[in-house]
Amino acid sequence: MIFKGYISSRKLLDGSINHQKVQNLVIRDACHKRKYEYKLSLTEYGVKNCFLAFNQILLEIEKDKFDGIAFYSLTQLPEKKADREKLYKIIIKKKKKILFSLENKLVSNISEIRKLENLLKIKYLLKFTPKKIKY
Amino acid sequence: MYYNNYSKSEKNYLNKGLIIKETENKKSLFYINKIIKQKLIKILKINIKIKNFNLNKLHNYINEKNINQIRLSLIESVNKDKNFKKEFLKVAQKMLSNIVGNELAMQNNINLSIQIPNDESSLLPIHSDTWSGDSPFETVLWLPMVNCYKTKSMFILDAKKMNKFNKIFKNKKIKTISDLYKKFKKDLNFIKINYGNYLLFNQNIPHGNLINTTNETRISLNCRFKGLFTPYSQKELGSFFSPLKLRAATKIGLEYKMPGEKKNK
Repeated sequence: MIFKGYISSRKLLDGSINHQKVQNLVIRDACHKRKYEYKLSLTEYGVKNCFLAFNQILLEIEKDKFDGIAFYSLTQLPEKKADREKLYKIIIKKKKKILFSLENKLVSNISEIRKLENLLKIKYLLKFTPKKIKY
Repeated sequence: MYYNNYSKSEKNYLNKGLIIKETENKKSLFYINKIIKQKLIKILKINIKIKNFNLNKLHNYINEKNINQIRLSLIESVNKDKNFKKEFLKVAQKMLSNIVGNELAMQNNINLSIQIPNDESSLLPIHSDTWSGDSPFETVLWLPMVNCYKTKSMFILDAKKMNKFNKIFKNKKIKTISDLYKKFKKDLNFIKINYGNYLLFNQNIPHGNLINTTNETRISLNCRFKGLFTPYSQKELGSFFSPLKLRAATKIGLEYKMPGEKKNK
């Protein structure tokens, strides 16, 4: 199974940012562990709210150019639900898979998409919760 | 006082975003070419003499499946050669000093591209390095090992179209990288450059490559340079760049202590 890598060059949803070299290593390792063939990553542009590379990957997976998308992390997903739903629709319709390498999560059906959405919502809300623990 | 009496080369770089010139040191170019061939012969385990090895025909020995592994092995192997970086710098040292400065930071590893005919796996769609974590203060030195033309080469946006590009980029109709490419296709020019020349280009200007539809393979090297003390982006000093040379005044400044202060051991 061929997985196309997808890495970022701007801050992720949780505010983290990692070297592209590290993102690629994490994806390569996750694909290797699952015996997926890793196809060179496409890098999302650093321009704010830009998802040209994300949409490009959707276009290509719809044309069956690969079997899955290997994200570095689930926090790379677009903040707008409508944009994420475009991805989910294609995954279901074309029977493809999404691998979130850092979290080691594979998503390929509706029930896994629901779990993923819950996790994302919690992660997003955590941005607004207190950061310090007072013992 | 601010001087802006730019040299002809600087004006060219500012207006066109690129400079193509004959390499400043032929011996260095031959050394680089020899090392690449030597290492490739070893990696590919082929029985051929260096002088008979035509890099244009490299696709006879590799395919789409193993190309990236071979490319990575070659990058690792050439960068281990103790003279490689020094010789690479020598091919355009004077121009780099003119365009970037004489106190430089150089990319730790010289990068290498292999574009075999009809290979879809090694494409770099239209992009500016600055959009992917590079500092706008960087310049790319691009050195072909073969003659490059049409799709065997890279394309770059006509620098005069940058304003138009920046305005249109956020157009809602542009949803994918393919849309962006199609919109600017007529403003993108493939660089014609022969072996023996180097290209110095402004990586803020959108560039990329397409499937190589010629019947020859392209091998080219690329390396980023910037002023040592200009701002860094995600490609940082240490992990991605290293100082190339510290000028005497900088060395004094770095080691200076106020009277009475102890020197660091």
